[in-house]
Amino acid sequence: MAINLPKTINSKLAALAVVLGVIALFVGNPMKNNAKVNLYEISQKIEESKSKVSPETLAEWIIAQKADFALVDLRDEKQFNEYHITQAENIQLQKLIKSNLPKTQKIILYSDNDGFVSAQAWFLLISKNYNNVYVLDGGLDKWKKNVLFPSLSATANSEEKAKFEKMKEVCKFFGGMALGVDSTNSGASVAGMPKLTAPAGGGAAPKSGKPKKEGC
Amino acid sequence: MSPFYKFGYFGDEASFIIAFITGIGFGFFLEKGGFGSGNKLAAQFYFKDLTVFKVMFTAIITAMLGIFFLGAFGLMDISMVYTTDTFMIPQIVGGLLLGLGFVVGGYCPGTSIVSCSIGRIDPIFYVIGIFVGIFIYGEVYPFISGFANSTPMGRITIPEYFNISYGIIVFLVVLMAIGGFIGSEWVEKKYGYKKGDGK
Amino acid sequence: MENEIKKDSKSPKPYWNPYLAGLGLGLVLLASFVIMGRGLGASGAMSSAVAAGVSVVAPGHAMSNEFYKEYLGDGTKNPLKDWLVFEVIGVFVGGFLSGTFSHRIKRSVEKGPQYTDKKRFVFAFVGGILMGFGAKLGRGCTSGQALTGGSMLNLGSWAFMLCVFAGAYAFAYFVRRQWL
Repeated sequence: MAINLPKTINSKLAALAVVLGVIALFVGNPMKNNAKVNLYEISQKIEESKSKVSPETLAEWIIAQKADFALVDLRDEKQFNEYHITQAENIQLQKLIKSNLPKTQKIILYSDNDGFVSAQAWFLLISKNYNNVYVLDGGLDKWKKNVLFPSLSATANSEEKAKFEKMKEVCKFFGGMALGVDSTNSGASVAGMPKLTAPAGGGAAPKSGKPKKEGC
Repeated sequence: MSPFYKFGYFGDEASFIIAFITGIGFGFFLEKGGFGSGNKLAAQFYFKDLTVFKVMFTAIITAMLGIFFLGAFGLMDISMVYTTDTFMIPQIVGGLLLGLGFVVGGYCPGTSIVSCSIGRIDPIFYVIGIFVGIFIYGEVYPFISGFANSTPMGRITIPEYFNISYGIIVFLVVLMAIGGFIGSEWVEKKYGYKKGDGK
Repeated sequence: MENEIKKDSKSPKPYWNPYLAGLGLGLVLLASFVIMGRGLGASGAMSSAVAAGVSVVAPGHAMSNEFYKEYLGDGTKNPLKDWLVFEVIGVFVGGFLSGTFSHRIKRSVEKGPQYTDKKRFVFAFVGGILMGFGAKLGRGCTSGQALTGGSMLNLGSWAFMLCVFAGAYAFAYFVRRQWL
């Protein structure tokens, strides 16, 4: 073992460190921010519509407590604190590139009904070599309509009815309520829905329920 | 392309085995450096033995240079390495408290584990103290969460904050460390334990 | 005495050259960055243990507290099945291995010659409390912030590290009899 090492070892290590430091001085920036984008692959993905997740599917995943995805709320903090889907993490578009989303997980993005922001975010992540990025189809509005406050049109067939019965259970899980048979047959408008509050347990915590601690 | 885990080359179960092996390496070199001894650690703060500074900063510049060049050669996506967000004021207060705890208790959390492992008795009390300290923090957290989360600056590095190139900072840190090493050798010669002091 | 070389094979071997120990430590840290994309830690594992303990004694209380919840998650996973917990177990084993090879395993108390064991234990306990509280407020300890964040050039980690040294040096005088 290194007992009574000659001082020269220390000097050699110091010299090596200084040389590497000087090289670093000239290298400048080792961060590779300029991502390469494979346009063909991307267009393929868009074509196969492999980039969308329906609200019902997402609800099932959350209930089944699947841990293989990260849910990202792209809206601003105020909107996020008012309401967000259980487990969601609040990351705005401009912070997305610097965020620490794992490449090992599916990433599901959502915003209001505005698919535009989600699409921008989707493209940014894809460009950064994230492979499993999805957009919540229809955004938060469709989530509210289909999952939180499902309704049944008066002319629904048996298949739709069965689906509605199932959604009745699902919506309870998320703190919503089934609106029952909708006589106007137009589907409830988003504005007419009961006021939403942040889901229990979500509270003021801007973080998801899953442990995100990695540091010491 | 690294980090391997973040690119999904292996799963959670395998990561636990890696954690265990990494820990063995960590504990091994800490002990070899003398970090299992509270006396040696505390001696840092009386200018008797600056091993803490030397080991710590050698480790920091080694890892720093390693990451820098892996990134520069395109072998590593540095942005995917996890670092904690900065909360300036709470971290300053936390750092001061931790320094106080260090000199009063004689260890930091990692070194107390090492010291326990080589049969020392005082770090057992220290580790129990850490548990109590964390428990107290957890219990008062609802009341101090405002302060604990104040001055958030997000994920930010020194080059980004001062808007200076990463390479220049790396160079300066290396220079500072080497200067510090030369300084500590001098300090030890002047104030340190002389041969025959029994330390 | 610990640093002296004796012919007796059972006497403790001297510590390594600190720069080589540091180099080894730095390479372990670098390997962790390359393989896992994260650094080392210690206090995080202890937090998981505390959170797990609280949730066993008072599950409702633990889940209503944002701090514990961060370590407990949604309650479906065992909080002790965590990367840092396994790493810290490794630290214990690694320390023990090194101690065994160097013949340093010994039941003793680390303190200055003038101090009693009992007083030392009280100080160790109090120091631990300060450390635990400070580490949580500072979002890490010497391993997680100073080493890991330091080598990543993380702004908060450097501020934290400087304050650790400042705090320790500022207060060292008042507890000097414990060590000198």
